[in-house]
Amino acid sequence: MESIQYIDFLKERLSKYYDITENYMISDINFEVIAKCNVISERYFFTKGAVIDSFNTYEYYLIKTIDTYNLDYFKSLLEKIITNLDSYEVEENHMRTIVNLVFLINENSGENIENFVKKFRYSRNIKFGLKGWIEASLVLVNLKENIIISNKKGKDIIEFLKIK
Amino acid sequence: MSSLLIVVSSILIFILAYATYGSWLAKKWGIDISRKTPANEINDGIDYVPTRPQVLLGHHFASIAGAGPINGPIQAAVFGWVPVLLWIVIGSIFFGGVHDFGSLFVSIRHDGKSIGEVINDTMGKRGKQLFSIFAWLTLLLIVSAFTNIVANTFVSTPQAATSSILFIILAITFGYMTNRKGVSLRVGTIIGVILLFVCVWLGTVFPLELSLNVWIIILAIYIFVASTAPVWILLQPRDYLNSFLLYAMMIGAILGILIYRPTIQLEAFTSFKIADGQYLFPMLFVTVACGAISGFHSLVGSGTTAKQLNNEKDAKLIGYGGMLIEGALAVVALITAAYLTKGEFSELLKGGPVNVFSHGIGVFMSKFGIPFEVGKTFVALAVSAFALTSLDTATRLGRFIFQEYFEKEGVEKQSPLTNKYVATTITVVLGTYLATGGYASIWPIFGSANQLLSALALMAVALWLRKSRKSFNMITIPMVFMLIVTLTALVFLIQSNLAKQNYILVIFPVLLFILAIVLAFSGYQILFKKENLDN
Repeated sequence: MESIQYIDFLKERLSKYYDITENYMISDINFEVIAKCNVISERYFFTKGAVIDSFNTYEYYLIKTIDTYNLDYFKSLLEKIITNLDSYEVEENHMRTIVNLVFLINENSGENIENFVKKFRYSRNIKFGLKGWIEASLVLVNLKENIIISNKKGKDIIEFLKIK
Repeated sequence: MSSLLIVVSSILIFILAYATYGSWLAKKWGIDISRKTPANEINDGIDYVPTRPQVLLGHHFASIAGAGPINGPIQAAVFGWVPVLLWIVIGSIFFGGVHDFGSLFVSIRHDGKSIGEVINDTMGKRGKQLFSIFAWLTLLLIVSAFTNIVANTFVSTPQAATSSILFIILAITFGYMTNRKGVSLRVGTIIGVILLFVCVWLGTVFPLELSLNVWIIILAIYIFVASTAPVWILLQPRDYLNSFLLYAMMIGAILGILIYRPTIQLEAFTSFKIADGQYLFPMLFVTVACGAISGFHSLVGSGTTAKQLNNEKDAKLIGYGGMLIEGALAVVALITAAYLTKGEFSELLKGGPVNVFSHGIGVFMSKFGIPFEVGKTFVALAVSAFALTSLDTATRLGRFIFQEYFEKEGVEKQSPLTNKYVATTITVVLGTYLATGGYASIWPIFGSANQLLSALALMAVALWLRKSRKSFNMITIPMVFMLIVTLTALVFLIQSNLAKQNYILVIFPVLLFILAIVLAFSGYQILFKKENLDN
């Protein structure tokens, strides 16, 4: 499957619950699609204005096609993203932000990159966890061979990314 | 008399009432099964979601049931078990059931708005301000009453104190493991529930004995932290685990009564007057609130339940049926007091109503093999857990109302009183200070405030029925009765607290009395003046 077709498939699937932006730049990296979902959980009493307590969870999909299968290039790409994640600011009722980094490839990326993806881990507590946390999953979708490789956190979304 | 007979006959009467009076109300009010409910009309997938009636009944019942149906009947048993039983049965059928069913139904016909919003819509600006003061005072009383109940429970059952502290640690760990460490909810729940019972056992091995005032201070600190910390750290996982405590407690209590079948030993009727200012009328009717009629139900239930109702016909099951189930729980609570002798009851009541209840259920459960100490600790833990939930919810709400009252629109620099921590501190300090006065002084004032709210909610239902050109006769008697109960109780409370020179406890009933008069007058104007009919 071509990456354009696959991106259309993901957009269709994400559009129900996510706000989608196309061709979004983070630092100097262009993502074909960024999808954002914000879930606000709250209890209120008497009227909707009287919120007893609430918390926000965010989930992002950052989707990009890559055609350079070089470990150093891949690492530098992730470093830029991580620098951004490290400066991610949250509001009062933030609980959790999950960033799903989905990279699409059209041929085999090689063992080095695959191993790097499998071992990748990003998780950060904000203000000792009192303001919640942010974590990232990393997924490599090989469109040519229809194989999905991910880090441990990314296993949660593999089913969602599969074409059925 | 056999307690089993009382429980079974009460349940049979409730079933009969559900089939007859409940159906009559549905017919009179014009329940329309073909009409789209707000859940189907709006169906936004967030608040408005059509839900199966059985599931919705579970949610609704969990919201309205707390420590209330347990405390009231036990405390009121000093008048004898017969008047309490009669009030629970008659109150649930003709007062509380009508109140809850009516609030829910009016809410459905107002796009799922809560009864609070309906009341707000009809009261104007002055009414809203008065209502804010009323709500904040009531919440202070809730903080005070529940702090006292929990502190008393920890003194009388120190095993439950240890279990409760361990339970809090368990809840935080449970939340951390399921949220952060990716432990599945199913596995987490199984381990969590097992560890919950380990907490109960550890409590029996290492009881924590402290004085009442020390516990009140510790609880004040706990409430402050719990009501300002992010909700997902403690409250959310704790409330989830709490539900398992409730199910286990109810199953244990019912099985225990079925197997043990204790005989009623308490006097059927003691006296119309048990102490100065403590008359059966009105004290019985403000003491037994949640088990017969409670204004709190109209706020808790109507806001969320009405938005999820799949069909108007389900309103009877959830609104009316939910109240009758709560009535049945109140009967079970009454049995835990009524099977005792007068001497045993007086002795146990010194440790608070939860002490009587947990002792009773502990004895019942011991008849099918649960060691008494474990059973009693478990029940005390379960009730304390619910009281703690009510405590920090009330504190959060109190803080919110306090902040909102002092907030000025369009002003950049707001008063320090709008600060989250300042508002919480004031609410917690005043609430726990009142708690030192003892639950016996606080509970009737809280009960009066709660019953005033029920009268107000009934007024809103009557108003809607009148506007819809339907008869509101079934509302008039409960509404007028609850207003008279509230006003009489407040007069007695003012008198008795003046006599005791307990001036802080005089302020509350005085303010509530003024509010009751203002609201009753507004209600009368709206309901019985002809020109308002089409407004």
